[in-house]
Amino acid sequence: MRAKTRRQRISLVDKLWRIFISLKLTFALLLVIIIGSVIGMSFDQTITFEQFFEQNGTDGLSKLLSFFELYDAFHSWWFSLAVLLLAANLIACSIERLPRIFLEHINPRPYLTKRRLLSLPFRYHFVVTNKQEAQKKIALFLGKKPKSKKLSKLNDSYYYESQGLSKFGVYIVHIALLIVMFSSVYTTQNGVDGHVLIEEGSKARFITARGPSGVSYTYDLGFYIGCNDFRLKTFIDNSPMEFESDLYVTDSQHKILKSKTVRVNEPLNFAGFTFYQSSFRPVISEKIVDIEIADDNGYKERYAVRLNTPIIMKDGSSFRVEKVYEDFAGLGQALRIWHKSKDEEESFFHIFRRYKDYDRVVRKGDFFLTFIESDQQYATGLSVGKVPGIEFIFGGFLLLLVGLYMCFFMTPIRFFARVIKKDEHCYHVFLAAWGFRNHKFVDTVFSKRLTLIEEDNA
Amino acid sequence: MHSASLYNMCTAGYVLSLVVFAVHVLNTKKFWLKLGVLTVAFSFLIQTAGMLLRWVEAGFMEVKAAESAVGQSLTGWSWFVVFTQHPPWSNLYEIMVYMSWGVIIVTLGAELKWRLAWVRQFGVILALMALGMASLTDSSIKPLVPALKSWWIMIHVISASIAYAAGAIAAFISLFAILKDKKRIDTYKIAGLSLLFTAMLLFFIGGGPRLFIDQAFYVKLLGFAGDSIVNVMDMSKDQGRAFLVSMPLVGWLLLLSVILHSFLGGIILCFYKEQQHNNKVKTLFWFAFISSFICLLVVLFHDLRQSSIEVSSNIAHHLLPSQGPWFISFKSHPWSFGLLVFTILVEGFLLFYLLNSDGVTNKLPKVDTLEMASYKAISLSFFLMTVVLITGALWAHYAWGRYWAWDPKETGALAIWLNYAIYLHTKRTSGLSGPFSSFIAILGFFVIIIGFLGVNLGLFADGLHTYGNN
Repeated sequence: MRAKTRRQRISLVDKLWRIFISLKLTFALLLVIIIGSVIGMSFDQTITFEQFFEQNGTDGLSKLLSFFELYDAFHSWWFSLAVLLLAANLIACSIERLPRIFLEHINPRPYLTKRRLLSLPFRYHFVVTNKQEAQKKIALFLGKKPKSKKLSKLNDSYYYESQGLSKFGVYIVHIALLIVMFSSVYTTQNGVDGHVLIEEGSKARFITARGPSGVSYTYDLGFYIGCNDFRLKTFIDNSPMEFESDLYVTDSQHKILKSKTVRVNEPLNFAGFTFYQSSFRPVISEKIVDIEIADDNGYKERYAVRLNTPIIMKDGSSFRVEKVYEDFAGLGQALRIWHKSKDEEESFFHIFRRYKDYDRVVRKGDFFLTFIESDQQYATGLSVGKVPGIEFIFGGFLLLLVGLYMCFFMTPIRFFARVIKKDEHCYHVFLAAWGFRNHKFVDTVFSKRLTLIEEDNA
Repeated sequence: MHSASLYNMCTAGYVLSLVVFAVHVLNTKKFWLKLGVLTVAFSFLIQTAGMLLRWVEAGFMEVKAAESAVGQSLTGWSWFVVFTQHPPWSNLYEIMVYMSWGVIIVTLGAELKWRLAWVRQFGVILALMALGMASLTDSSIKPLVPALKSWWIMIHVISASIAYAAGAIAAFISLFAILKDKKRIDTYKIAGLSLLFTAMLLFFIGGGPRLFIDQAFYVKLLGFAGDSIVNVMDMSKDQGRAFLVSMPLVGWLLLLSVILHSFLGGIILCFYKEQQHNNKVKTLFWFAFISSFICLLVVLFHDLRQSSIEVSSNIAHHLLPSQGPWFISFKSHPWSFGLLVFTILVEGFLLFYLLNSDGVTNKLPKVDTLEMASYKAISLSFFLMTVVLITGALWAHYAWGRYWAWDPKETGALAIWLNYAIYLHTKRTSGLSGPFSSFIAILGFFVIIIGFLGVNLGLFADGLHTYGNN
């Protein structure tokens, strides 16, 4: 009775094992993942659980959709389950198949028996008169000298395997995929994916991070990240050409630990966190303009003023920057200046950033103004990422490429040869080859080797 | 000489090669075949020259823009960096031209390696469609957005183009393998299944489930501002949405066609299994084909006539200025239209096959050779897709701090990759390595379309690959 239950239990495990090592399960899971991907692509994945309910109401359909977590399909229970099962499938398949191939690799069966000879797809037979010649021909065929270590010689059977390690290409690919899968789980569990907006001249310690199911939370960096200056270079049509921020990192005692200018594709790294320049936002009504006011008597002063803030001169006249033109009639950046003279006469004029002498030469007033720089205040938008274990992911990628290269661009071929002595002057030589894949290529290689032998005969 | 004129020349060359191939179908002298292939190769060289020229044009433009922005002239290394940073595959127009280039390179490679009948014609047609789609998009050279200024773009996009092209060509070869494989697949099955498949495609072209709700063939909402057509989305307040409106009558016709296709496909699969029903199968296929062809004609009619209608208020309130009335002219969404044309071309080819099955298959080599060719092409595609995914992940990590964000385009690429993973595994499974794997390869074409153009087809919200907005 007891023995029977045990047997049943074993068979259940056996059944499960058979399911997990089957390629059918792989197909099913891959199909689920593909369909899941397409579904996930068609729903907005950037919204949170609450926003999803706001948009869809709380009726039955939306409850059904939220049961499948379609607002965060790629982290939903069913998607994760499929990926997990796929990982299990991969592991089971590798355990099932890898040891056998490994044992066969380190312990090959080099004998070319008659039965084996007949089972091999590529074979050739010829007769020579002495043993040395037979060995020479075999060496030509195997492509290696018989002394070579890789070459086995047993009982007049010769054996050589070229590119034999590429048999493991498939397993390297699968192991690489497992590494990528598990380390990506690790990185999402322990990583931070956040965003922070810092105004020029200020600093921040708390960032907004995106958590599971798209719920955002506040994350404490433990140090301050500050922005001294943000610069936006634009093309003539005002589209951004390049933007960069001067960032610094301080501890709570305001001691500067690190500073760097970040650009798109050039981040700042500190304490495992990486700060990427991702966006920017103009801060409203904070446009600051640098102008220089000078007169003929040697007076020269530089002012950094906000728009519509009057600058009052010694003689009672005043200037006010009214407007900044990004491009004034094709002449580049310009300022419209409102001027009140000491006689209370009001007028306005323009100065140009590109033409520094314009005001001195053209208007010829008591004071001449030079437009140095206009600085719109910005808040720099930084993506904050902490991806622990990214090295493993990239390592996995490298391994994946290596494995795929082995799979697709290398072919393991086994060459067999055997000499049978009929009498002193009659040696029969049998040659055969077998490839793991790509039989057409193996055929080419085999024919090429045979041509070598024929050339040697001639 | 301008790059656009070189592109026009190469387009003309591809069309000419199709004519020569058509002559070859009628007159089977080897000369015509060689002439056709040479025409393709020569046009390909012209296209390559055009792309290089465009690179140079873009380089001068970038230098000029950068110099005017910085206010000083560039020299030496910094000049070189700015000059070369804008490769000819950075917006949708360039990507489509570049895709056609990839398709031709793979077609020529397949021609050199296997000399398969029909593949060259299909390859050239596909390339021409990509060029045609490109001509419908904005061809002006705009300064590169900061995110694209990276050397990763080179290897990322080169791999993607060849991978997608190899996948598409493999899909054609697999289709031919199925057509040739009369021992394992009966003609009625091919007819019935292809009708069902076409029904599915037409269903998606009609906007998926929306077809049943609105009976609409969606056209992208385009407004006329002066002489140029602008995408209304650019003018709208709500930047995240593409506005699609329905084209009159076409929706109903599409719906009818979908129903007819699935109905007739079902009938063929259920009832006509014997050889003597072949004529009935052909007749039913004719009916289905005519229905989809009428859809195409009506779409063409509207496109050519450019009839205009007032935009309904629920869409118009998204636009600026919001007081309308907004009128739009019909111009089919290029992707929907292209897919429709493609579907009907393939359906026409299958009809041709049903009418003259020996004429089609006699030119083809053995099934094994076809399946081998398809396997090779997909292996290449799979390897390059891996490169695409990896370089994409590396680039994203160094530029945005996330190696994987489930952005629609990333996910699409993953879906393509996984589909080919299925294919490669079916090749190792006995019983599935024949027609089933060919079917997966054909499916791959549509996964590529969804992954590559899904964003542009208006199926998905766009993420980081913003060139799709044009």
